Amino acid sequence: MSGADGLALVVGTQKGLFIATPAAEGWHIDGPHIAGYEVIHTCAPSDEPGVIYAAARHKIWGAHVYRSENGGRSWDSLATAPQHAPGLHQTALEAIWYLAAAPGGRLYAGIDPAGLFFSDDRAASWHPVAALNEHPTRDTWEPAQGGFSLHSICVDPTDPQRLWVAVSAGGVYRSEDAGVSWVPANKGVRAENLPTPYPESGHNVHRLVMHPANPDRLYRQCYHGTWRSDDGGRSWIEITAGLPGNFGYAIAADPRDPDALFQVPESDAHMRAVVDGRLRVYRSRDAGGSWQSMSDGLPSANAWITVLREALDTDAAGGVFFGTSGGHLFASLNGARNWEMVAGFLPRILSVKAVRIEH
Amino acid sequence: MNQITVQIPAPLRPFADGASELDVPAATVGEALANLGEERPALLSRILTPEGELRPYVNVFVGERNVRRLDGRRTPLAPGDVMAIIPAVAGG
Repeated sequence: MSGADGLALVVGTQKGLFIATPAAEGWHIDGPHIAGYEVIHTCAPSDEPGVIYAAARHKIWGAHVYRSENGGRSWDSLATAPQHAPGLHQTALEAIWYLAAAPGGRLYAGIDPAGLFFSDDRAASWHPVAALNEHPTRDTWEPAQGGFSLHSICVDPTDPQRLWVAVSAGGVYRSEDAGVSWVPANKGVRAENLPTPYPESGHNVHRLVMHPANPDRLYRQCYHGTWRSDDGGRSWIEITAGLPGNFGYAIAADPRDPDALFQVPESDAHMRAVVDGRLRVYRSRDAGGSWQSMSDGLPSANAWITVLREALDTDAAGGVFFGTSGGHLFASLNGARNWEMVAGFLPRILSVKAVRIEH
Repeated sequence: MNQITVQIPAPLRPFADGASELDVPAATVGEALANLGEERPALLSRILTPEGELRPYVNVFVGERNVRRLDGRRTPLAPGDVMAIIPAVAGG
């Protein structure tokens, strides 16, 4: 399968979930599913074709996990959600922020208040990863403006014992033993939200991604810059130079090349919108050594919007996809050389996931 | 045990097989919710928090009285009572 064959974009918005698929003329948009709920994140286990999980939240009706068995055409609300035990960490479940599927069937969930959970029974029951949730450095964690979440979960596809997660604010942590033990992984990363420039933990990190073909290659977008690790998070190198701003949420690796990545720069922590009202995607092909704007087809003025942390995704066929806070969904099928607007009036887009669905 | 009627708001009817009302046996509000959710966990999880409390923006009325101003989930029910689940009108 190549190009757009079987491609579907699973788009989580503030008012439900949409499925965008390329059609003979333009794109077909199906939805809203899970209507009225914020769909914060989705994941599609690679060893269960057609299965998609969604993390949803509603101001009145609470936070829930949904599952589709048919590529997103219908959804079931599951009975249980990951949560801290009574008495731990402000027990009220604010949100499920992130879902990740590991090889072999294990699911992980990151929640607000920050915590990591796993399920070995297709989300029927959830268990805390206590060594992280009760980590001795937890007292360095604190809520960020977007909440107090564990929002990025990376699993080494070749060795599911190796995990990395990110907490806002708290920093990146890594485990080599399937979550039995954890160490902070922030060496070399400035923490401008703290008085100590290079603390062990407590960093405000917005997004962490791992390259699927080289799991030692990690990228992180922070509150104040972009960093790369070549050694599985043991150390980090700043790669912000060449970007028009040091703030941002969205970053994604190109599955075809561990040195290629995409980022959407934003102005600063005060404005939290793309720089100068120009919606630009930056690409690096040398692991952040240099950056180029890849913005043919994107608005070059008066675009005062943002691209949230889960709202940029890539696929192995050269696809790059993102959604904006203004409800615009953009797609490039050629590595960001040019862009088309798939939809312009969706609700605020919270997450975009590219999947392949057999028809 | 008393048989009472529970009114289901429109956003929750997909989790109650489309029903706008359900009859359940219950002597208290808590029993009514537990019986309501016994075979409908997705419905109950939208009314109660994971800790088992009424969600902050969900109100339960017995007749015209909000159970938060009565005895909460221990509020007694009489045969034929109508218990309404109503999302709070909050925000703009």
